[in-house]
Amino acid sequence: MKFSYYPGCSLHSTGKEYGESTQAVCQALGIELVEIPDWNCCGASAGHSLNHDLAVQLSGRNLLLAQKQGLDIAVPCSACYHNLRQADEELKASTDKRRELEQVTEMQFTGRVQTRHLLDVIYHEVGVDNIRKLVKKPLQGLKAVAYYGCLITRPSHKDGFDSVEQPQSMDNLLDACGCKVMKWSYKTDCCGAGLSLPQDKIVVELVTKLINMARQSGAECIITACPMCQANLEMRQDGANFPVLYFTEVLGMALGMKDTQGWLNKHLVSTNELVGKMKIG
Amino acid sequence: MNKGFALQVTEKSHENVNKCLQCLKCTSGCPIASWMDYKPNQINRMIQMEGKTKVLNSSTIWLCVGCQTCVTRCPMKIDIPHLMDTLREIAVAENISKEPNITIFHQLFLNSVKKWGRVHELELIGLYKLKSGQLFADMQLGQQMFMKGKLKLLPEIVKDKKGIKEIFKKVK
Ligand code: SF4
Ligand code: SF4
Repeated sequence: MKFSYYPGCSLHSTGKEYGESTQAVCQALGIELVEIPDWNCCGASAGHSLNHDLAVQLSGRNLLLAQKQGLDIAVPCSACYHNLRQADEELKASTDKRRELEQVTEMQFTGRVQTRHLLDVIYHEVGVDNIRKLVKKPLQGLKAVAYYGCLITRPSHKDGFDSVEQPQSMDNLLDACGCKVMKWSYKTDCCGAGLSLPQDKIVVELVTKLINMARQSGAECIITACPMCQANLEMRQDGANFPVLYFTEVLGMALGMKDTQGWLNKHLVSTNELVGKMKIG
Repeated sequence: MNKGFALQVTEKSHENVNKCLQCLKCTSGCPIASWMDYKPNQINRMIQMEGKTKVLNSSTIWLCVGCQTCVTRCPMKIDIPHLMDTLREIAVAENISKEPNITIFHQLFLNSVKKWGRVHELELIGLYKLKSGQLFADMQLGQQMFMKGKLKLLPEIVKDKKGIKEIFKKVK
């Protein structure tokens, strides 16, 4: 199984451990990731916030580069994923936007490349049953909630890969890893996204609610599938000391991969106590 | 009264606010609504009523994070985040912002992408601190991230610089 890989800016910086665990876990699961050569930033929140068309063109360039590779794209970042899909949809719908992109890039847009979230790829292409078979170290002591955030499943009219209000894919993957997956109602609530720097107070309030609700559910950590959610949850939790891991790190631990500690060391909130407990559990 | 604002917004966004039922589903689910000076459904009504000045001077259009909750739940499928994109663009063109720090942050982010092709976080944070005057915010956090190799000293540079420049030139 081969995918074009769009890491996005975060996976080379603030979400480094997500990038490293993604590469390692995909390799272990038989998913070959070929990084899009010379990819550019999708514009994140800033692109569509200030210039909607610019965001479409920036993502459009990446779509064309993947098209050249002849592969569907796997994207670990929910914000990048949303931007690429949004661009794809708008390019398909508008001759003007397509023409603009084709003029700049001197390539023809076929619209045949599919953009998929990494969670979708692992869940649907590898599957829970296969993962269950591959698990070497079931994480029995790990009580976790799955946090999807806003942009993995939304908006609904763009045929997503999981339920909009009650997604299950990550819950099922965590269950396959042996975790005790707790129920909570905040799976798709917002983390504050791009307001983290310019309006940190809002983000602190949103994140504090998420952490409190996760605690109340009995979970000892939150599992995410987005570098922006993860960074906000760690940076803006106001000293709550509540670990926030990537689902790829959990998969890596369950698969018994040796690099896991290196990923976990990069977290801003220590995971030592959590991991210690798991070994006993 | 600024006649023609509703038309301008509709033409630019292709969203029809006249379909709005004022059912408040958008506002009830909006994670940021409690910080907004006007709620998303009120923005719709204000567009209908030609309230250009109020809409463009609202904090709402800047605080909306584009989380898509509202459009997902709206019975009329009005794409409010897209509407907000449109309103922000009009506000920027008229040099209006109720939330200057958010505007500055987005502008610096895009400058970074224009310059390198990818965002250079460390430079972005530094410039943002200078421009917003929030010099000492998050010092410890920044240091911690730097030590963990999460903020790089040097940018990653896209080779096809011309292509990136072209895109920025074309859409301006
Ligand atoms: S949910 Fe839709 S129809 Fe209802 S008030 Fe909001 S925009 Fe109007
Ligand atoms: S997209 Fe904007 S207006 Fe809609 S729910 Fe999210 S923050 Fe609120």
